[in-house]
Amino acid sequence: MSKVYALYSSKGGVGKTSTAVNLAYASAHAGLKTLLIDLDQQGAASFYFRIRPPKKHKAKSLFGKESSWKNSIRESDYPSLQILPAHESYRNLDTFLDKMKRSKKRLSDLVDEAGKGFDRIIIDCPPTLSLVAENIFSAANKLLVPVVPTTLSERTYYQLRDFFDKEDYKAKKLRPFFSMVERRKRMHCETIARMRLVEKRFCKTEIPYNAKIEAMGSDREPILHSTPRHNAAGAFAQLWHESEEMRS
Amino acid sequence: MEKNVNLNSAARDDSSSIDGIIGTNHKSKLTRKIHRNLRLYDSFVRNIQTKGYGLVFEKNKFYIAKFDNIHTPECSCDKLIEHQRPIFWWDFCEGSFQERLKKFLGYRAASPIYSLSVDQEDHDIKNRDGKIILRVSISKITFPDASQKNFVSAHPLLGYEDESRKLIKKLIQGLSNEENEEALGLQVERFLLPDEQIIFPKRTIELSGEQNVHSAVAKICHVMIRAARQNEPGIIDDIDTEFLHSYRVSLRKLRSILSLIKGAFTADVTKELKDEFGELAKKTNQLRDLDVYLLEEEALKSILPESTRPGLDRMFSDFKSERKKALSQIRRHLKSKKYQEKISRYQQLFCKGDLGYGKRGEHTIGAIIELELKRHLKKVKKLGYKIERDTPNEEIHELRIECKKLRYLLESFNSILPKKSLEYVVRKLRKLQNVLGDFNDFSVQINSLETYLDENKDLEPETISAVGGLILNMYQKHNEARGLVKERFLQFCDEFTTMEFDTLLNFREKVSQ
Repeated sequence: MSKVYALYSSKGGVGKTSTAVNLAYASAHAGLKTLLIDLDQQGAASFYFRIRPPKKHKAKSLFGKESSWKNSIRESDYPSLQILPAHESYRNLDTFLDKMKRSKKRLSDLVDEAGKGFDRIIIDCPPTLSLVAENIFSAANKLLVPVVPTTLSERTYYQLRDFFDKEDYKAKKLRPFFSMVERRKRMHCETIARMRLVEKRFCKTEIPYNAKIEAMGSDREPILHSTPRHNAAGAFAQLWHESEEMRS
Repeated sequence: MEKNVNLNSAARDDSSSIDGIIGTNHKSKLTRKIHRNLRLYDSFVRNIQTKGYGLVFEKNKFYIAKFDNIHTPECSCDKLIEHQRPIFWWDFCEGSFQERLKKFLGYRAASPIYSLSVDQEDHDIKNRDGKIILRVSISKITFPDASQKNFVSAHPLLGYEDESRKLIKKLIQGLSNEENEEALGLQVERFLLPDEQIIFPKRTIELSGEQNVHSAVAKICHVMIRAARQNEPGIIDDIDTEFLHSYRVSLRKLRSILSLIKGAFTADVTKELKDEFGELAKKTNQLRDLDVYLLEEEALKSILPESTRPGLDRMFSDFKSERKKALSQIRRHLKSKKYQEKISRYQQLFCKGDLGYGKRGEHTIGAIIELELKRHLKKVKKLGYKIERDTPNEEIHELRIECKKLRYLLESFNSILPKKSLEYVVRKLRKLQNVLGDFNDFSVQINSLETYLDENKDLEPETISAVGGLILNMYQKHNEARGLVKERFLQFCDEFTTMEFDTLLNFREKVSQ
């Protein structure tokens, strides 16, 4: 059985994609056969790996009976790492799922099928709290939630936790981590201290705010590959090890 | 998907030439440039090569690869337990590599045959997004005769097969020289065979049914004597035990042909040849018996309960020192002027066919084979049908010997007998011979173990009881084999085998029709 990590937050621009890309790289680099599923219609994770969606690949093909999504998998430039790229039609995923039976379990079916050929599956999720999100909550073993230590992000995280309680999802799946941390900002330090007191599930690793991470857009490669000795790369590596040590 | 393309050695192999071939939509990047020295190993009779594979030694590591992709390991092993030259399968640690080598080599040893050098360049081919879509390896292989050839292997990345296919096609068109497209496998294989062709144990000796008995028998004897002699250096150097085994098999075949096809030469010459070659074979008996024991050391020990196994150590150490002595004797014998002169003289005689015609020397060989096949099949059947529970062991031995004669007849003249029927009959005969062989091997082993006990009065009680345990076990197996003889014999006599024998026994009619 493969282990499934989803990088999820209903807020955009919190570092989901950069983390997903680097964790996928770290997983493959550790010798594990890894699939990165890019569910975000913007396709940033696919872009980082220089992969364009195939012409025939549409939202529909993700949940069809023939598992035609398998034909859309692309091998990355790195050994053991393959990508299921995103497509702009993913913006209609919710509408599409809504029309289906077992609409909250469709992604789990896909992940179960994909799991036969991979040791690890990493999902880069779109910023939404809709039917797609609920599919992700069911399918993932661990939900890695990037939290920027600001008041708005704090609020978003607690909303997610409440949603989990209300809808009976297993709260133990939630593993938040601080992202885009700037220790020189007092507000960041205070938010981190406050949230760590209330929420024990936070990962020890903090991903710093760093220009090198932002530059991934132009370099188009994981920083764990381009500058493995950089402290931001070190943080991603540490987050990977911490995720692997978590009890499922 | 992997694509191997054979390229002209004149082709340029740097990035600029590849870029020129693949066009402006793609770019290549040199990722690795290495020089490799590969040493190919094989046994004397090329057990690995004949299966289309090569055993390659590179940087203290052995790997197995297909000929047409000799520079790409298919299965490798880092660890050589005991480093010795030549190498056996049991020199490697347990695992899939050892298993495969065991299947290839059996008891044979592999030695270095020749070396290749490979200058390899790996390139990544990227599309306009800078995404790698194809990985290409260009290997310039230098063969022992200093000829060079370039080979390309291309590995498209998953999802980019279609795009890569066009590029691979362009690479072929741009770099290959169609007039000179000999596959890598054939090139590699060419150098594995020595200048003087090895006579493989099961080699067919080309004969015509119309030639006379004298020339046919002389030809078989000549091939057999050459086959035996090619093993002499291997026995002297003690490379593996199969050299002696093949030597003995060749001499045995030679002698049995003289007995089976009587009258090829004069009675005096035939007797002299049989006696002389019998004498030569006899000299090797002791060494072969010891080889068989020592090869089976682990298997024999495993028969006994673990606590009693150390009891056999003394016996095996005695056998090892006896083997040393026996080997020195054989070495002396094979190197001796007397032996060399004698065997060269016979080789010459068979080659020239200068042996005087016997009673049947002028007959056509086809007619005589038919006659002899009928005679020996009749004998086998007569002995086989007589077998009952209380048949004395001697009669079963007699059946074994008759089966062996029949098999030699069939195999020695396989070039003139109808192939399909021959293969079927030999397969059935082999099954019968297997149980008869077991029956004989166990009785020989029981005999020699009893002799060992008789001749060594100073043995420790542990050794006596361990050897006793072995004898007991062999008695059981001997009886089991005996019990199977009748069943296998009846299978050998079934309707289909009889039909195929009919074809064989009347093969000349079929030919004339």
